[in-house]
Amino acid sequence: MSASLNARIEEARAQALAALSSARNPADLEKVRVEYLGRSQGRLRDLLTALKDLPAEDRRAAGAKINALKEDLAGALSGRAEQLGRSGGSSAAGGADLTQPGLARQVGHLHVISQTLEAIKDVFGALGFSPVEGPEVETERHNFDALNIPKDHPARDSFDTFFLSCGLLLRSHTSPAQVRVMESQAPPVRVIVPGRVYRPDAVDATHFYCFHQCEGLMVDEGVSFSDLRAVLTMGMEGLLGAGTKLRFRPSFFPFTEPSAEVDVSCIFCKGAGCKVCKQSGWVELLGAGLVNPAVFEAVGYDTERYTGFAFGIGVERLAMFRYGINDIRLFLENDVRFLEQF
Amino acid sequence: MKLSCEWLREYVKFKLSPQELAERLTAAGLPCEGLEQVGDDWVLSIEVPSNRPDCLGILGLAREVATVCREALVVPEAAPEKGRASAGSMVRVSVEDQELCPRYVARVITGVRVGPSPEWMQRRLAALGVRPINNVVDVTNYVLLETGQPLHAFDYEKVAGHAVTVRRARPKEKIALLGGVAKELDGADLVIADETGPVALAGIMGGERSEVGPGTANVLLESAVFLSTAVRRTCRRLALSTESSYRFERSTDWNGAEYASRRAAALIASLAGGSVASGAVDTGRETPKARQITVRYWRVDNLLGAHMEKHTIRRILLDLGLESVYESGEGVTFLVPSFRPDLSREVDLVEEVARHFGYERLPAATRIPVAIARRSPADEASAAVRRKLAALAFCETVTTSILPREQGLAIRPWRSAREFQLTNPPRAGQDFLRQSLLPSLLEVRRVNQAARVRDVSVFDLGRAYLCRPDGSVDERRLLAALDDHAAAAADGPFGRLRLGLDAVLGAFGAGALLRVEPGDLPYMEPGESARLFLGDEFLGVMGRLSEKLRGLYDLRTRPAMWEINLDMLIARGRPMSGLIPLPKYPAVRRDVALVLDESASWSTVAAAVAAVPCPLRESIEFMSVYRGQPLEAGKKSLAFSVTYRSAERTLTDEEVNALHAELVKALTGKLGATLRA
Ligand SMILES: [Zn+2]
Repeated sequence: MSASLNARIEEARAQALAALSSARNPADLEKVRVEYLGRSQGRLRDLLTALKDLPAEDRRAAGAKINALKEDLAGALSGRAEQLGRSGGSSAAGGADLTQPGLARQVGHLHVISQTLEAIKDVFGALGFSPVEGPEVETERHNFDALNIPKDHPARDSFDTFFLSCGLLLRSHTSPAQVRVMESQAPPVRVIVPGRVYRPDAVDATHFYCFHQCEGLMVDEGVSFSDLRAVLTMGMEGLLGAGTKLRFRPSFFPFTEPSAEVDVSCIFCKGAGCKVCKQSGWVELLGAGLVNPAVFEAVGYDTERYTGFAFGIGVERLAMFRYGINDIRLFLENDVRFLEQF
Repeated sequence: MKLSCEWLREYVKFKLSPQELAERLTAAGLPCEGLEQVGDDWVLSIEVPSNRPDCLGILGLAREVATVCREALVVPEAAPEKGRASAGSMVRVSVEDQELCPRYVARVITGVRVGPSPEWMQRRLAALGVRPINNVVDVTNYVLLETGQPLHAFDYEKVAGHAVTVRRARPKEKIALLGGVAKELDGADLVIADETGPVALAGIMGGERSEVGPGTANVLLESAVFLSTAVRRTCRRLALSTESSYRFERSTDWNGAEYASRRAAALIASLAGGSVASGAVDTGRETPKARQITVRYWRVDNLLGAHMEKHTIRRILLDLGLESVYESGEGVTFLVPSFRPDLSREVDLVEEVARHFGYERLPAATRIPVAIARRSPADEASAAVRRKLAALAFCETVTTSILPREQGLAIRPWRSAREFQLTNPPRAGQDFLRQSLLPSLLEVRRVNQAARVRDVSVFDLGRAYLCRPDGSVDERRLLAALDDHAAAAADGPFGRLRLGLDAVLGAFGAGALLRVEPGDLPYMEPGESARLFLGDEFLGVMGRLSEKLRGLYDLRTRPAMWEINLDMLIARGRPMSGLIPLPKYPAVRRDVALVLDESASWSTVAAAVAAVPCPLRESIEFMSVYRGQPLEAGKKSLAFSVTYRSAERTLTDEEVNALHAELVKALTGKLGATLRA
């Protein structure tokens, strides 16, 4: 490399660093920047121009040196600027505007259904429930028969179902997964089954033909209704906050006996009555009960030895309640302006 | 089921206000959905569960109220004065299908004077929404509401031959129902017929021909048991539903049929005059044996998780009409009344005890064994993938699996032996179970286009419904992403998508195995379309929606997208590579910009770099691509940086420069490229 160019580079370095250390304010710094790094007349620019006079074999090495100096100077400049800023240099001459907002950057979001399901898995996971999945394309046996819902029985009316041309169906609830779990595993069982279900409901603000449920199932010796009460109370407190109250009302499901519908105290009005809870102070969120021995018989469990409970949560319903969403259609529509709010 | 408080008081003297009654019934499992004042009376709307046919009569509800309030239940007398003639001599009944009609009770009342029913009866019927017609018809409706047992009154003289046959309809046989509706029947429908043809559709509605009217003097009163499933089938097929069929569909009470017949006959005689022929024609053969159920005291405690006093258990079940047949220190054996077909097991009795004791009084457990919850590898991998893509600014979507047929058929990257079609789709034409998530994402794009959202980066993790060659269902977990930005990005239409794809593959330690094989896919634009492979295995597809399909999805733009088989990645597992030690010595970066033919892809350049062995070269990284002035047409400038590092020492500029020069020389030679000035 040409000795003279090399010397000019080192000279520039020394002078620039000296100028920087004597700079007292941003204006001084800017003067140094323009003198050395300026795009059109900076001294480094001149050095680069001088490269072309070098023999070809020296050019690359000298170029690299100039580039290294450029990086070093840029670093030293910002370092000195920071020093001056810290010591109260002179913000009057154009320091940082801390009131100015940042430029918007695109951010990703998990779907609110996904987030709600994760919350359910977290809370019930802490209570020992492992998440499992089941198929959505189901047989009549799993969706109905093994769950004690006989053909041509009015009980089937509340489980209106999409049928497929091949004789299978789209599950109308997550309960068939209960049957599959018990068919494949001996007690004790402690699982939740989050998943997608389908019902040919007329679409409106509270009904969509495709939605999500989360089933829960616990089977062991001595599992009782009071265990169900405890697990659901803790679970709902976990999802909706401490102090959430539950109200169990007798109900009828073919696959549980005794059966209950479970209302949760309104988190918006704390039970005083508001629009969300239709002034009742309560919102219906779950169905539950002790597993009907008929279901145990269908899967070959010993009905004398084992007892268990099952429950089902409407996931959209829970999310609508948690976030004050008033139209179920928003979930599957995926308007980005909706997705970005969660 | 509507319940009039005034009417209810006839059977049970409860002291609750209508509001309290509504609350108590709700708490006992008979939810009150409405409460309205009708004159001096209050009428509750009770939503009766489908397993409680007994509560479709006020008497059944009265039994519940009596149990709730611990008051006595008064069942009305039903003993008509016997006339001189006997029913058996006046009417003949033959049942051809004993299975569909196990019991048919016929009574005859002669010499009635048809006219309006008394004011109190009209008022009660009206309160429950039933229009009063005449004293005979009103009694049948009144007793239906009272007992839950449907009844039908025929004009005896209009039944030809004074004989009825309960039989299946002949193919294409017609019946004119009350109100003038004509229906064509088939062999699955059950009718009541005389010599000339059907006079009633069994359990559903009477015929016009034998209707009781002002001129009626003699009445044939039917009270029967019809098989619930048969009534249900006929109702569904003919799109009919009546107070009567609603109850038969939920099954009626064997003994109730006989009781209601007596009760109605006595009421007709007292309100319309006339004389009830003695006895009845009753085709019921054997009275079904009452079920016996033993409830064990320990079992009640075991199921409810609380101690229940023996006398409480006994008291509730006796109040509900069960009969104790045997008692021991261990438990009680009960006889179940015929009006409670829902009680078939011990656990059913436990529920009766629990709901009348009060669910709210049952305690919550304080001790539950601990257990560890485990998430499946698929579940954990799915969560990890979602987080990765969200971190790269993709929004997650959740989309429906049922697609409009044409949209579903147009994009099918995956082999499927057949398609799944809904027989009762939510909307005409929307009957296709998706085989790819891409049509779903295109619909998301359309929705956002309509909402004037300009830029969209979304992904979906969901199932497609494929069919294996053996006919079994393969609900495959797929992952798809779509990107559509109005402004061109420095890394092109696929840059952001590739970043997402690489991050996903990285989560499975499979980044280095990806092979992108450009090739035309029918739904992607030619030249902007590729198949993805992981080693030799087909992983998925990537490309931009073809111009010719844009209209099908109603889009103004052509989004870029990919879809991959997530199950395949999950099956590979997520290897936990141990920590890679942090480098001790600094890296040195050198940038290169090559001017290349348009046809030279990144992967050719990367392969050319890889072909120059250099142990100190750590990585190469794409920086930018440039087309246009001053480059000639058909050329592009591809800039990337190369990082050098040694694990043992700090590299000197000189040695890096030498290594880099060697690389650049090899590249320009091999790729026919020039260095960009
Ligand atoms: Zn509220």
